[in-house]
Amino acid sequence: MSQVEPWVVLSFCSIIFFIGFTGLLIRRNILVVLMCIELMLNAVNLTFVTYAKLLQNLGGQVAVFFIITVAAAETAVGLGLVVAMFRTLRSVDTDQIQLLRE
Amino acid sequence: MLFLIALFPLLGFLANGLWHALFQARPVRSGALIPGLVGSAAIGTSFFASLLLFVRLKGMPVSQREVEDVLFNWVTAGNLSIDIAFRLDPLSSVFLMFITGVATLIHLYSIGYMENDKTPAKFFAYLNLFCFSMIVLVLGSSLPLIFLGWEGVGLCSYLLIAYWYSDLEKASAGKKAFVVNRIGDVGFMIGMFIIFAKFGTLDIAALRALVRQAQEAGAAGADIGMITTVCICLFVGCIGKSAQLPLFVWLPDAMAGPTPVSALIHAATMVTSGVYLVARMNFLYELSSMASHVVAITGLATALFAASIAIAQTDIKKILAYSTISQLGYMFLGCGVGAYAAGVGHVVTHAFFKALLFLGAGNVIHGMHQQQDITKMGGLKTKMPKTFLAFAAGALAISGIPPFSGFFTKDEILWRAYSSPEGSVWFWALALLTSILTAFYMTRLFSLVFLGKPRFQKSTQTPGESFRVHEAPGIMVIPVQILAVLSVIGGFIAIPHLSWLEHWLSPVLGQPHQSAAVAGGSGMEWLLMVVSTAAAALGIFVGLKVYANLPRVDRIKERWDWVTGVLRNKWYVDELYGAVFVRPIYRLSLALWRGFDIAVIDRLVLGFGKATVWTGQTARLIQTGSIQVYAFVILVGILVTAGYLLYGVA
Repeated sequence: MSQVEPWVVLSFCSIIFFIGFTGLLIRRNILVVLMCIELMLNAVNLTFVTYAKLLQNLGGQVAVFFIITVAAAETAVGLGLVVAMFRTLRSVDTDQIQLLRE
Repeated sequence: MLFLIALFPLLGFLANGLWHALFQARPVRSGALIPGLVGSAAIGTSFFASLLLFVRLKGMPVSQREVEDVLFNWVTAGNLSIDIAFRLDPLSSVFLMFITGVATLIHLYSIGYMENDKTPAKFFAYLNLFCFSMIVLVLGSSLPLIFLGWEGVGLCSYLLIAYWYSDLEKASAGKKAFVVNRIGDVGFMIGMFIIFAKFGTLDIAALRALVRQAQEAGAAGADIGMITTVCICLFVGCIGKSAQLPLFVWLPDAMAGPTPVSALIHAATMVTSGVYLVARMNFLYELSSMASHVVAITGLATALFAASIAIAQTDIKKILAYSTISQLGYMFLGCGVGAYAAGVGHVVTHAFFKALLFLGAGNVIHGMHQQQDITKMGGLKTKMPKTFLAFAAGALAISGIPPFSGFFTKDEILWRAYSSPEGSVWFWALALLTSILTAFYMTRLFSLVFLGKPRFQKSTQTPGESFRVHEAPGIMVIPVQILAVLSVIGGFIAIPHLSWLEHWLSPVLGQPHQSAAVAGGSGMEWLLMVVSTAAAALGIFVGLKVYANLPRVDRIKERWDWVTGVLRNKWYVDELYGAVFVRPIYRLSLALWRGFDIAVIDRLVLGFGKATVWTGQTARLIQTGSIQVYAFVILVGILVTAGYLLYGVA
């Protein structure tokens, strides 16, 4: 079985990461923004795994498990915040949520 | 032991001051009684201690009559070292006794006078603080300590003149006194600086020893110019504090304060501190005949000038104020011709009879419901018999009728002005003229207030208000009567030739100068004494005669309108100072305020504020509140940082 070249995987990862980041910047729906963050995290995970394989270092694999755990917690908290935000502000549109400006 | 004398009034000040600070909001039901008793007890204890110390001093051999009490080191800088140290010698003992004694009587009097005051504790706290400062002034062993007391009495004078500070006129009278005194204090300080630069010490005993030593070595002659400068600088301080020409303008205005304050500070004690300083520094003044002449001529000119103003005033306290200035002039005349003991003697008797006159005037003002205009009084003889009698004693004492106290001390000054080598017949003649004027204006005051028919039914009271002239209560009459007794007998301490006072003070002040030509002429002395008594009697006689017929007084006034106008307006001195000093400074200040303060400083300060606001408002635009924009900025930041780390470092 022929191996995939590392640069292919890494390029793929950075494409996915920047797709996620672009979504984070330009999408207005908070749910979508959250999903974009997930996308970025997973791109990072893939990068970790790639380098773990490449450098024969298990630390990368371990970091991935941590990130998955933290991402799960973050999603739970994030969704909870979105629900609470929708209840108080009646909106999930980031253009209308600019409380930091005050 | 010595420091206790100063400590008691300080404790009284703290007690009354704390009481005022803590409980001033509560209405005081007991009136001035409790704070007054506390204050009187404090100063009364000091008086008692002064008497004890006097007895102790008297028991010592004549040449060693000195008690010193070094408390602690106050300042040490380079070769300057000042101790907080008190020193009692015959001179300060005399001052101490009459200051604390008269102050005790006036404290007691104030209990009655300030009965309806809203903040009696504050009043008595100020009075006690004043007494403390005055005691420090008199007992201080070095010039800086004297200066401390000097400034302290100035401060208390300001506080007490402006005691009723809600009245703008009274508040500004306080300010005037303070500012004018500052002008004199500059002279005092310069004098101190020169002394320290030349002698390297400010302790008076050490200074005296140095000067004596130099004198014996014959070296003092070389420095006589410097000594003259020092003496004149110190005398400038005395001019301010003792209200002499040309800085006397604050004292008449100081009458805005409560009457006991006028009696204590502006007649009996504080204003005499200038005389005290000159007497204290007599070893310097003796060396410089020029400085002594300045002192004598200033004193004489002031005496005559103030007496002339007193003739035309109508406010009872103003008359007494000008009379005080005039009497202070006498004291300086005495010191200036080398007769320090005579000057100090007049300080003592003047303290008695002037305090008496002021307190008597206080009784009159109290009885007349705050009326101070003597043209609206008259006939109080029957209404206030006790005050009348005491006031008569005071008036006779100040006029110089034997055997009242003023006669002895004033006559001694007149005689010294004539007989001393520094004196002259002109000094004597002008002083005699002053004493005629003194007798005349006191008689005028006396007859307008107490004799004749009452003139206040029609004019003084607003309709519907009950108005009854009454004698003052006992607590205000008894101190006046005690002072009256002292005014009558006080002169016996200074009978010419037998003068106990002169003998007592001789270790400090030395013997008065006597020129050889008149030393033996006791016949001349008797003659002059008779002349001065006759002069005083003449003044009184003319006064009684003139003011027995008031319509004629009005006619005389009309005919001599320009003269009485000038005198009534105090020779326009206030107007002159206003035109020469006050208004130019005012205009300069106004110009500086508009031209520099507003245009430059304010603009600068406000500019800083405006710049800050502008920066903030501009920077605020970055804060969109949108997280996504923030995230984008973070991205840019990361990219820049990463780019720099990857490619820039190399």
